[in-house]
Amino acid sequence: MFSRLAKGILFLIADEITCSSVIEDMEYRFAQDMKEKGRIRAELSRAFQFIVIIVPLFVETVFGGVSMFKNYIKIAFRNIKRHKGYSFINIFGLAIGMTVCLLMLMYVVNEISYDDFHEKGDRIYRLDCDWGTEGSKMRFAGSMPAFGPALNSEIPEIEVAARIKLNNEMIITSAQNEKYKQSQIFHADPEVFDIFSWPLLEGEPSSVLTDPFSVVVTQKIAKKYFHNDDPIGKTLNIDGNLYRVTGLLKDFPPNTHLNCEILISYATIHSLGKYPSHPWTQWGDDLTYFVLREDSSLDAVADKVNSLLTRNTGEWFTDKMDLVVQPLSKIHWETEYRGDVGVKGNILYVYLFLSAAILVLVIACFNFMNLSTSRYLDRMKEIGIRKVVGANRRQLIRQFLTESILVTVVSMVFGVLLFNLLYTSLYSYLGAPFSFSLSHFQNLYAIVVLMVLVVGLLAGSYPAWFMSRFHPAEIMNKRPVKGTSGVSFRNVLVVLQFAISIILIVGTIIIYQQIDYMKNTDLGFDKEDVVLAYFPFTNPEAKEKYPVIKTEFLKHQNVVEVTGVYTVPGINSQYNMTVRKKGGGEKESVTIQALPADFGLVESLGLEIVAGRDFSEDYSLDSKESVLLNEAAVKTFGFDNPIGERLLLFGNKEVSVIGVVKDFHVKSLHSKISPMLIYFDPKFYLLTATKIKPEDPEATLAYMGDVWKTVLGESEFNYRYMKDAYDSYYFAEEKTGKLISIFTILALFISCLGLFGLAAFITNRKVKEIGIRKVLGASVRSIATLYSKEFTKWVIVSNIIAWPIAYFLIHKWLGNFAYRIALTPIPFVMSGVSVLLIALVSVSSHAIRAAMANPVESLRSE
Amino acid sequence: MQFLSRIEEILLLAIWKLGEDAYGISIREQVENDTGVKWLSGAIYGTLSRMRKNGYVKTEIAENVGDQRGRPRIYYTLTQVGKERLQAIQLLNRVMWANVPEVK
Repeated sequence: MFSRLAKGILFLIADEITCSSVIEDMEYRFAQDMKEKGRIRAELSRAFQFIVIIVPLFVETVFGGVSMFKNYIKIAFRNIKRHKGYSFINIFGLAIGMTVCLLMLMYVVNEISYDDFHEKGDRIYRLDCDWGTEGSKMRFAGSMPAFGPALNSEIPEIEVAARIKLNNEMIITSAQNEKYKQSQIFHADPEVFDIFSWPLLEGEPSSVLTDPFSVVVTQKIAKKYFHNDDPIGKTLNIDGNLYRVTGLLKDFPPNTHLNCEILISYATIHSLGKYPSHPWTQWGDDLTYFVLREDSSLDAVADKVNSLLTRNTGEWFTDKMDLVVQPLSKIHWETEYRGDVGVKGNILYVYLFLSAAILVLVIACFNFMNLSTSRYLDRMKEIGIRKVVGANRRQLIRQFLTESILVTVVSMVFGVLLFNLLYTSLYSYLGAPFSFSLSHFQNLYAIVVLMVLVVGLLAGSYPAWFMSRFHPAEIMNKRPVKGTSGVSFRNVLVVLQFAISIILIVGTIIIYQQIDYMKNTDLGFDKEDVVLAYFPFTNPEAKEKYPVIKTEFLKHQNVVEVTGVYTVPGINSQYNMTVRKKGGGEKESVTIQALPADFGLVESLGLEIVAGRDFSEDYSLDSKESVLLNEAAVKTFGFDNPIGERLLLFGNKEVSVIGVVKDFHVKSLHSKISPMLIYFDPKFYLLTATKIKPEDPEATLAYMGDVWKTVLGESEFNYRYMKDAYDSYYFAEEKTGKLISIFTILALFISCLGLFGLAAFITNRKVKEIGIRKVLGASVRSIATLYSKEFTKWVIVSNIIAWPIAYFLIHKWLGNFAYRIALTPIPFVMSGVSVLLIALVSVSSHAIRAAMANPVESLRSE
Repeated sequence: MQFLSRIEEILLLAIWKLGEDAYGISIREQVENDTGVKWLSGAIYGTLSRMRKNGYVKTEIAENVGDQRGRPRIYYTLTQVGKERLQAIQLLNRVMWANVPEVK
């Protein structure tokens, strides 16, 4: 597909007939290139074609031929050369603005283009489900394995459906007997190729995944295991089973949630005897995708799918399970699904970046307009002469627009160069997990061309229309022409520019303050030096060996305490249960978060007991019917003195409260602390949390690893520090904070550049006035103050405009956090004052220089 | 009367030679064959668009003959003005080259 944007640009500058011819020709060449040179070179040559086609067409339509255009270009270059300083500021400022804008747009384009390459994309849905009772509902991305075939055979509204199932890491043994760990291995039904537009380079889409033990690999995998040989027909040893390679897939673009590297036929699961014996009721983590028929409605499908569920499962099931249908386009954005695959995006940040990109470009544009307008005032005589000699207004407008577009093109070249230098390092510095696919670069460059046209026309338009308006007699006359001071319009621009800078600065300061607050706030637990290790899911006996592990761990001198636990802060899982006060009715039961844990929990996590006592092995009842509550839970139940109160868990198990722990943040500060109940239940341990002493952690970890491997018979000890796990909650915020601060500095820099140029211009025009003032006895200081005053006024006005907007935006952003900093006027005042100071420095240097000059210099010519 | 520019001349000749079958791609290929040089598309289509405006060529939209996507194809033919200009330039060339000693 010839990118829609490129087409739009084409239609903008040429007539319809010509466009049709051009597009047909370009498509034809592209198809030829595809055959001869391959996709990448074809794309590149098309991008080049596009540029070389745009420029002459543009010249043709706008200038009616080449000769006049040449003249305009010549004059434009002369002007750039004559005013080197202004041109430099103009080009440099605009180039930086474009680079920044492109960097941010790249992120935006990448995010919004997730999974957009499937031809049936708008009709692809995934069957998800809600599971659980009211209050403890969980969303799952997967559903039962029986759904895939049933959707295909029993629901006529569905064109095709298929199951995809992500496997854990598997071991692949190469022909040279080397072992590799391989992730992103999926089991898939053969129908996946009817759903997704995955380009199969070799093999027949309908048959590659039908037989058991057949696999389809990507080019990357083929290269890794078969080097340069043709992989088709070769065997691949995965986890000890031999598979035959039947198809070769083109590498997946990075922006898809299903980033498969190896596809194994679903039939293999049957052959290995791993298919559940009750596929309607046994969970399989199968992601079920389907394509809706073009003329069918989703509601009909939803009803039929639910009736499928009712027919094939019991009431026990249907009570707890609700099926949900999720469109493909939403999968990247919706985060609450368990068992989901792929990287998730955050739409808030996309909007944030998009608006920042536009703002920075606007700042740069304003700068450009501002400087051009002030400079054109110097060219009044030129315009007068041109008019006298016979130039009409249209020609003058064209000339000015050519100049501004030329400057834009030059800045674009620098901007794009800078962007290419920067983007890899910037995004790796930020740790953003994406690479960029070529088709997006094409889109990006189409945006660049559009940007040049828009910026050039926008920035050139005001001066062009404004300057070409006057009558030559007016201009040639010595008296200053009415309205040529241009001050009011330029003031508006400067004010807006600084207002945007101030908003960005306030935003940066507050984002940093919030991140700082989140990192340093008292979380109610001690996240330092806690080592987390999951019991391997695949090893069901691991949990039973927990007591052995605990005793062995504790033998080491540097291990302080060990606990088995369901979840800890930093890990996103939640277990809810319904609890009521003993003696209360069924209706009074509440759903609260439950934390099954071992005795050492309080000490391992450094929790604080505020009333009662901790679990203790001295009390034999503690392991059966004692619980701890957090303060939030005490408040929920309305206990005055919680110690000794009796509660009913699940409506039947009676327990008593022995202690209260201080509230601690299990989740990030985005959400409120929920009421929680801690009880003893080894069945639910998912991981161990071990508090170690800060001395010599390597030795302690090595010891723990040895214990882990010997006791559990695992090959590896995978651990994570709780601090890292918890801090990763704020990864997005930190990333944004870093990016926004870089962009803010650049935006401010561009604004100052503009102000600097403007100040130079204004003092230049007033050089005589300054001379006369000096002769009459004004001091340097009074003159400098006089000229700085004007700019001060503008900056203050910008503050007044910026503060409410910044307040509104920041208030919205902070709304994401349940625990947040209080908004004080300090960041607002701080940013206002700093902008004022920066503005004064850039302005006053000119004013002082002008004031210091000997008045003779400026006055002697008359 | 204004004479045709060289590009215009080459393009008009190509269209004339192609007769019924002159559309974007075929014109470009004809021109490239005649001159033996790869042309920038912009030069061709820019000139075609100008000549259309000046009334040297006229266009006809033919539905259902373009590529599979169903876009119409644009056929170009010479107008009376175009033909006159072409004749003029031919005459000019002939007159200019008459009795010129061989250029070595």
